[in-house]
Amino acid sequence: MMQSNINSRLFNLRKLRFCGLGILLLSCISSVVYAAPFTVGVVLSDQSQTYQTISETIGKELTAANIKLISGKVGEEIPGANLLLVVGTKAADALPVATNQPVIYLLLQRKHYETLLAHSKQPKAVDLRSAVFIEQSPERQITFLKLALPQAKNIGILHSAHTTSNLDVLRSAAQAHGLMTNLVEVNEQRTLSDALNEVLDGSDILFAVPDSSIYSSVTVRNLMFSTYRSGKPLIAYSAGYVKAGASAAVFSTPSQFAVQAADMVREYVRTGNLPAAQYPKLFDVAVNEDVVRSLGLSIRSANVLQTELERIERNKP
Amino acid sequence: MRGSMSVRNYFVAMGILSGLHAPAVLAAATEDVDFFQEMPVVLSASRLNQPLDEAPNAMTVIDRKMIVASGFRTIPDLFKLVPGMYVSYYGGGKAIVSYHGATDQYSRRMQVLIDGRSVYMPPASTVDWADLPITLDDIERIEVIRGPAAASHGANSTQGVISITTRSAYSNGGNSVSYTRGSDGVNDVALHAGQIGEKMAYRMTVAYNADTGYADLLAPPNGMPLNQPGASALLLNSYDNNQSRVLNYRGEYHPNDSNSVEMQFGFNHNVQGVGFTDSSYNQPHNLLANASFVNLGWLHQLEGGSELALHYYHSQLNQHENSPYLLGGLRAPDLIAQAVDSARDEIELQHTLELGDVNRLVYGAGIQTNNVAAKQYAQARTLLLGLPPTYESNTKNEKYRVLAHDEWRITPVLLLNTGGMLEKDELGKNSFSPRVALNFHATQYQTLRVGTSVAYRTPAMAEARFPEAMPGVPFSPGVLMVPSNAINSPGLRPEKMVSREIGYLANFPAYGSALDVRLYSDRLTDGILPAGTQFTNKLSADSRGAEVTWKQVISENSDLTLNLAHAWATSNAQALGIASLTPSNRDAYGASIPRDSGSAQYDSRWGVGYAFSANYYFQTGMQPFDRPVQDYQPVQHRTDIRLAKTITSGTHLKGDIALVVQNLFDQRYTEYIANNVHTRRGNITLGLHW
Repeated sequence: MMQSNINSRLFNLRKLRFCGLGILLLSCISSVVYAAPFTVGVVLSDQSQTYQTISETIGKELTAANIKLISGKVGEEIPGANLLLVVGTKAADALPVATNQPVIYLLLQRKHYETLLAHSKQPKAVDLRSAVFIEQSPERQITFLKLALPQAKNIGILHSAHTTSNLDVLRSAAQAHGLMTNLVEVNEQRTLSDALNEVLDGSDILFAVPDSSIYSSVTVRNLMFSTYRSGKPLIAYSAGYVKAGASAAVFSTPSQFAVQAADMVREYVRTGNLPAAQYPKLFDVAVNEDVVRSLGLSIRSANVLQTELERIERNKP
Repeated sequence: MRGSMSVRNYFVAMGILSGLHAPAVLAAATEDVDFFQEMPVVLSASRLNQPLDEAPNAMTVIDRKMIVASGFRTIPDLFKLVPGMYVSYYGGGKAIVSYHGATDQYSRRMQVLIDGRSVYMPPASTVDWADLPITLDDIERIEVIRGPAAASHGANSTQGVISITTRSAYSNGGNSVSYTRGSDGVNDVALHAGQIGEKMAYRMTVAYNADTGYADLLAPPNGMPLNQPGASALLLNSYDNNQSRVLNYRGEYHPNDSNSVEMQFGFNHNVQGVGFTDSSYNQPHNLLANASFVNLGWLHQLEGGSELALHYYHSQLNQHENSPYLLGGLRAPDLIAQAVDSARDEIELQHTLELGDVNRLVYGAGIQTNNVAAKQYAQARTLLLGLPPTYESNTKNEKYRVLAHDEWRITPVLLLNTGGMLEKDELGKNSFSPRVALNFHATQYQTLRVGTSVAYRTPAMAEARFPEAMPGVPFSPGVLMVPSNAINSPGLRPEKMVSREIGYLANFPAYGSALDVRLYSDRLTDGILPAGTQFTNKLSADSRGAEVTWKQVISENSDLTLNLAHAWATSNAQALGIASLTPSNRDAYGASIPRDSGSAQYDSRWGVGYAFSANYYFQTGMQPFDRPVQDYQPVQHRTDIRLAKTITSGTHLKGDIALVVQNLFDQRYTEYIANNVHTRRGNITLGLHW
């Protein structure tokens, strides 16, 4: 308005009337475009505590950066959102694959994310999609294993047709650290109990990789009892398993995922480019000291392991 | 029809949706919620084994691998793998297991537990190993605590504790059948079945085990001349066939993450040949036993790692015998009939409490009730003593106890175990059994343990109530004991054991070696001894010794375990007029403890499903405590081998075959009674698993 008043002194009234109206309209439009905050649509798979925590933490992080959050429903796009944060597999699977809104997926396993991309109907999917994977990078998992149990030489891995980790990558990471891998498949010929006995027989530790047909609340007792009975430690991928009886795990908490996602959103706002899909940056370590002690193993405390792992990762080129 | 339509519609819908949404192939993938899922505490404090270097006592662990490698087919033989343990046989089916020997045939100075259920039974407070309703294959692990441990394991643990843990229903689903055939009438068949579900799992066993015990001797053992007193009585004197029919079931139910319920029951019908041809009142006959139990447990997880455990069990052992009697040189049939029905009920509540990160307290209380209903019909009572031929007794005792055990990690390298048990027995005596042990982790791989503990053994029912079915005669007919209705040893006090020990444990990871050394000094006072038709507290004894276990990993597929024990003991037995019949040692108690004993187990696995193990046992000469000189046990050497092959087919079916040769070099040695001579034996086992 101030600008139009200044202009009015330079032009005649008629011109001024047209110009003033035009500038007024322009300034009104531009104020809509530039003053409206960047809007992130958040789609949670459901209202459970994990997703709520993520949503709340992202809210705190982004509101401080003047970024607006709106929530959407599973399976629907959010008109007006500049970017979608899709949290969890259920929400990810339900999202229309052709959506042309940029999307950051949270809590997806890498394999799942890559399959989603491969099936995407969005021609610019590579530019418009990103993710924070739910699992830790193979490099971090193996480095953690080496730090926690340096005496382990042969790591046993149970897998099946449902295994969602890239075992080749994991095996390469292990080999790079001088570790052998003993992969035993659960299939129609080999039950979980048989496979478990076989893998424990030929390995120093059991290294859990996500597979709902092997690791679940249904199988957890058999797994824990059998592994413990063999006198070998189980390295898991979640805090829940450590509570149940696994020796140790490296994992990320919902808040840590949220902080990383917020960073990615801010980068997108700043640069206009989606950061590449990535493994979790922040992580926690859990050690079940009672189980470790009972197995007669010496393992450093969770705090020491975490600090050491962080130090190693910081110093990596 | 309606159902099939809806299924088809579902697939049509999925097909449509898969075009628009993510591919259905991902439906079976691990859900993200799995990464954050709360899990039940499966390996809770009470289910975890205490590591050897943190235990307050010396401990030997016999795990499944050792059990298999041993080639043994009966439970008591396994204790030959424990340094300092004396295992011998009164008859083929009647094993005697005692830490450091020094026992009569009713070994009763150890607490013996199966899944927390104490199995030494009244009236003699001894374990009838052949009657246990479990098989060797049911056992997951055995912990043998060498030294008194009342503070953590309850009553009767003056010498130590044998704690047997059976396989969890969750540990291995699937079914198996096995058949063993061997010399000396070995004829075993077993079926194990199990299933694992999300909230429930079960495991059960049906088995039949049979053997003919020791072979009859045609010449006296140990080079004994036939004219030596008692030597001829050893000939043709092994009536000791043994048959067991076993059924057991273990079910576990986990309704939610914080509660678990366990239910076990079992049954053993055992027929055991007993008696001697030269005995007038214990002629060869069958002892029949029906042993059964129910074991119920409830475990409740509390916040912060604490837990509450409620445990109840009922054990029943009904035994009866019809024994002939030698009358005027003639065998008169069935003149003696005896039945002893023993029952034990126990309920116990324990609370395990985590007090911060460095302190764990377990405390609890229990009530135990023992009932013995016994009946004797003996015509000899009338013929010899002019008494009515029938005698009946009903005896009952109750024991109460409270116990507490605290594990305090004072610093990361210093662990203090303290605890005690207060027990009140049937004679109204209160006894307090404390224990304290300090474990110092000198380095990451070396631990020094210093400990002292006191344990009491309350008198057995048969000690407080001397079986006086034949008044004035210091023996009972047959083999069963019919306790007196009256307490006829009223002043009897609990036996007391004070034990002091130093332990050293070391691991040498670079060499794959582990060492466990124990030096101990034990003092037994108020030791209970029979004196005429009473029991008295007159025995006192001092024992000292050293025990060593060395474990060596030889290669990735082979390892070796060595056990050695050396023991000295002195007692007042000679002063009490208890004659030692061994010229070299006039102390009957001291002479009944093998000076040196040991074992070695070599176990190897070969790549193509073969396994080979060799076991060696030795024991220096000893004189069984209450046996005549002809039962002297000279030095023993025995070597057993096992060769096994596992065959895996392409399906779920797996087979194995195992050959066991015991006493490979036929180094014949005598047992607790010298007519039991261990000779070379062999058996072969075929197994199928699916």
